[in-house]
Amino acid sequence: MEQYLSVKNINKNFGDFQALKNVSFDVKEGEFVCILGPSGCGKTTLLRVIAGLESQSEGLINQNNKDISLLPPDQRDFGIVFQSYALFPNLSVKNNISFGLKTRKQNKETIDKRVNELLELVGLSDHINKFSAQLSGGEQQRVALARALAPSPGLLLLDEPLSALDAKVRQHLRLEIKNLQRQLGVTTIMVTHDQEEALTMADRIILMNNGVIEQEGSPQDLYLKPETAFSANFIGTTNLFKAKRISENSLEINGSTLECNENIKDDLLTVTIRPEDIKISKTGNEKNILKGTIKELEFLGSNIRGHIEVDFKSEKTNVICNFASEYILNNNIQNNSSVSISLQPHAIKVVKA
Amino acid sequence: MKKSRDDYLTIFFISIIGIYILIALAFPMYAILSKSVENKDGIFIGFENYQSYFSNPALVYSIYNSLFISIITMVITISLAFIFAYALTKSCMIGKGVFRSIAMIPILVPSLLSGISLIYLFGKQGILRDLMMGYDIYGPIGIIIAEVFYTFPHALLIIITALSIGDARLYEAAKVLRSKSIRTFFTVTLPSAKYGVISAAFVVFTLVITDFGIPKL
Repeated sequence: MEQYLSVKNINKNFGDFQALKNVSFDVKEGEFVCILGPSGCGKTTLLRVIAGLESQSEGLINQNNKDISLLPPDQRDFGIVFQSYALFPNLSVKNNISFGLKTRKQNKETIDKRVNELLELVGLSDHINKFSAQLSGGEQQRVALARALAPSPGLLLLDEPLSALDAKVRQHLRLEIKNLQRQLGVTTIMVTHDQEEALTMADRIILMNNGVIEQEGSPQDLYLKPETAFSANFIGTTNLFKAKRISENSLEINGSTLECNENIKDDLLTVTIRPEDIKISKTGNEKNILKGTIKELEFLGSNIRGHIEVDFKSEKTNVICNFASEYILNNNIQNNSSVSISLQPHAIKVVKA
Repeated sequence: MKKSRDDYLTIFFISIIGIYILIALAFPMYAILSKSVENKDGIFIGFENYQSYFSNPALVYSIYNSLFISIITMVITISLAFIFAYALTKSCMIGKGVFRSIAMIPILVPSLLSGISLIYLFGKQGILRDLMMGYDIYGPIGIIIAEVFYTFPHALLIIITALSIGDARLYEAAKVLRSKSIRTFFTVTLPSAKYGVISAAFVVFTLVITDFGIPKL
């Protein structure tokens, strides 16, 4: 597949504040890319720069082998869905969807056909003559999606499309958007602060923090191979520790020596251990065994999250672990129970601070 | 259900407002309206006064005149104020502050003043009399010009507010859908300012129909 969109060295300043610092990335044709990050990290600004609603201070944008860096939004080829829907309240569903077709001077039959096609696609054929005030949030967002897709744009931009909806609708619409995108094969960039949304929908995630790209990769890569402490912490839950190098494959956390599978070079390190990689020692023969006391158990259904005070050699430290509910309940493990846990070598990963 | 302290407080304040309205509005209205169904000696005669009023063609004609002047003024003022407000809120023209201040000055002066100044300018001895091209400033034309001058800032104030609270995201949505400015005006600007324009129209109408000063001159 070919690079459809490439963003090169984008900088954006608002007065003294630099919202985007040298941001570059590529998007392949038909790919679903999520720009993920906490609020204020510059992700929405980046999307608005791609749309031309905001002009970059420096940098180039190429779409479909054409330099669009300086074009106004109405000369770029994209459809956008805003977080707030931004449907025209005085127009019916039909007229909202056909708006972008009328401005492109298409004839009436083509427009009617396309509107019906899109309404069917988003499952709202019965609501064709309603106004946005008569629709639920989820329905409004689907109309907004249909409106953005109506002129068959080469690029679909989604600005936090689901964050104004409640949890059930969000989950449902998440799947629907993903299926629609796959079915139409339209190149899509979605901005979100919700890591679950990004993990479930994206082919590739671009993780941003403070105006720079922290890491980009497939959802699995970001979760399993975080490169920085920020990545590890933002996606999923994790335990972060400061550590000292002992040898190439062993390190020291709070005075306790632990074995790991990394190739350690620096003297001072930050390591991450996912809660689900910490196991309760059953045989006593596992590696990196530490004793601890259960401080709190949170029941999450199939899992139980344990907050364990672990006795490292020099100080006690709280560690978050995930256990199978069955095991905890069957073995009658409760608050203040003593347990031996194993921080398995392969689970200890060195990240940039 | 037991009433809370908030409920009692609400009832208390509503009662105060109710009593105020009764004393300041309902009683005077009653005092005036009750006279309208009495004759000179204070004897109740029903709707006879109204009958004689409406059977007098000159008086009926005066109502028709008031309505005519008010509606014409309303249409002219609202159109002018809308264009002015649109320029002030949506364009990038220079000197917005100056234009806005100048337009707002008449809000502080009594309606009489615009009438007097028009007579000074266009009256029998006015310096710009020739510009009237033979028409007379003392008739409906003069009244309408003066009323427009007097009501313009009131309408402008309301319409500016209505236009500036319009949803910026709708303009963006229209822009990315390649809408030309005329289409954006009719799909976004006008509908979102609808209520502002309607209330401004009511204000202008009421101001004109209750104004004594200008027509008197």
